Amino acid sequence: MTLPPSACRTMHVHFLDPYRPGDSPVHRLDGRVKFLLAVAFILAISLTPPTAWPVHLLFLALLLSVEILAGLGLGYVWRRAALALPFALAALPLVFTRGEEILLALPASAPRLAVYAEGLERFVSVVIKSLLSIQVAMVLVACTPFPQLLQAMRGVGVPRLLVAMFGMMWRYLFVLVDEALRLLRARAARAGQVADRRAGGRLLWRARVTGGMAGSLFLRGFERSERIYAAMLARGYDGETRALPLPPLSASAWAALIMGFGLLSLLLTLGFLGWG
Amino acid sequence: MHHSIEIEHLSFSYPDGRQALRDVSLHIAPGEKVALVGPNGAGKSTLLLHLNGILRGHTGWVRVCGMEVNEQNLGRVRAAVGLVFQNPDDQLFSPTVFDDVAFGPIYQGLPPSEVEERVRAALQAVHMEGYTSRLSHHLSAGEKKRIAIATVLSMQPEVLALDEPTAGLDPRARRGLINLLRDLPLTMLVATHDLAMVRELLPRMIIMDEGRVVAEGPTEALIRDTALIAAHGLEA
Repeated sequence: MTLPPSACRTMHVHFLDPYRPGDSPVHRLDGRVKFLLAVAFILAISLTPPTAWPVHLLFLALLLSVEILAGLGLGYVWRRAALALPFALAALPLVFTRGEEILLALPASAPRLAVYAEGLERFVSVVIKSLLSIQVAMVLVACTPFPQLLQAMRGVGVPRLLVAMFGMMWRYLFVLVDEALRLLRARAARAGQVADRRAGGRLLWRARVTGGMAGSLFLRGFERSERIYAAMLARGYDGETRALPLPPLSASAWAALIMGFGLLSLLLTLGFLGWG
Repeated sequence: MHHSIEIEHLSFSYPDGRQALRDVSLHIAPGEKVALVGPNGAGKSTLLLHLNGILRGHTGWVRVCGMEVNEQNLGRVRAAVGLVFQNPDDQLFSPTVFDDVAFGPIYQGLPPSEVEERVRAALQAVHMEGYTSRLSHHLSAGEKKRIAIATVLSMQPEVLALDEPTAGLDPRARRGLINLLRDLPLTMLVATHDLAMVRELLPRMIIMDEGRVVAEGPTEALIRDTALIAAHGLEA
């Protein structure tokens, strides 16, 4: 995570929250349905055979329609999704190791390197799949306020302890970033300069100061967690998180869920029948 | 002869749109000790952050020790104004007391012998000699506050700007701090709710509310005006 340069000039951090308020059908859909469909989408596209290019296209079309329906702005979603691209590079070795048919043999390399057709196909497929999966997750968090998302996870049976951990992380991430911001500000306030001396100190010293700041941030986070835990115990926490039950799904939510599942299974079946 | 702090028609709003300062003007002469009081959210801390350019006003200007606070002067302004934050945990970001107090002088590029001398003098000024190798993390609230003040004294500033210096201190630590501040021969602007301290230490008072300066004058006269004090959520 990087802080924008203007971050030191604000009192609190707001820019981390990916939620984009809106009033689209996607925003209004029950959080449980959105969560299940997003997970199902990721599962379906991961299981699609790598050479089923037309099915990849259909998944993309489905995703684009949802994005347009949600009114998020395609630029926003794609820019954010591009951040995940470097991780797809982990699949790059596939290009050189997978398959029989040699597309391109790199001359004068020892050990001999060659680009294989099957490996290349797999790599491209992995890149497309990860781009689409990331975007589904982006749409999910951009159209669902985080507390509602937590509720939805609890509602569909994600282990409560896990949900509680997500919730805590979300709550205190902002506190931690605010704290880091105040440290940076305190450092800036003492970064003075006097006449005819070069300000800034040596690089090594600056690195040590920054290391010290990271360390004290960690210590404080650790101590805060102890205090929070004590406060939870004081209010009767016994290791079990409880929540009020959620209302049952409405008829239209059920319809959306069944349609979504139907569509995804259709695409997946198509992929297996044609290219499996 | 320039003023230590000159602020003219300063307005500022945060990126979320909340207007924190509205047309603030004030002057503080060298050596003057001034209180900045007002309810929470009145804009006191925001104003202090303008004194060394952490925040920059949208209109109006701030001049410190004759230097306009702008991009070119930022380093020199920060050397001239010692800003002591409300929470000493923010101020003390290094592992040991020595590292923290030495940060300013080292950053300014002073030679090691002078850095050590500055640290020694600063710790002596806050009566904390012998704490150099202590861990900042393990000090009491009162000790942290003194060290926080030492971290700016080591820069030999001309102006000391303090945000709520007595908040969270026990009576003995508070008393020690007041005596300490009285003995420091610096220009001071102190944002606080502690009117008893103001009365004792700071002969002039500025009252802020909703981002504006609503009153300023001799502390005794303002505190006697009980209607004014109550109208701005204060208690004498």
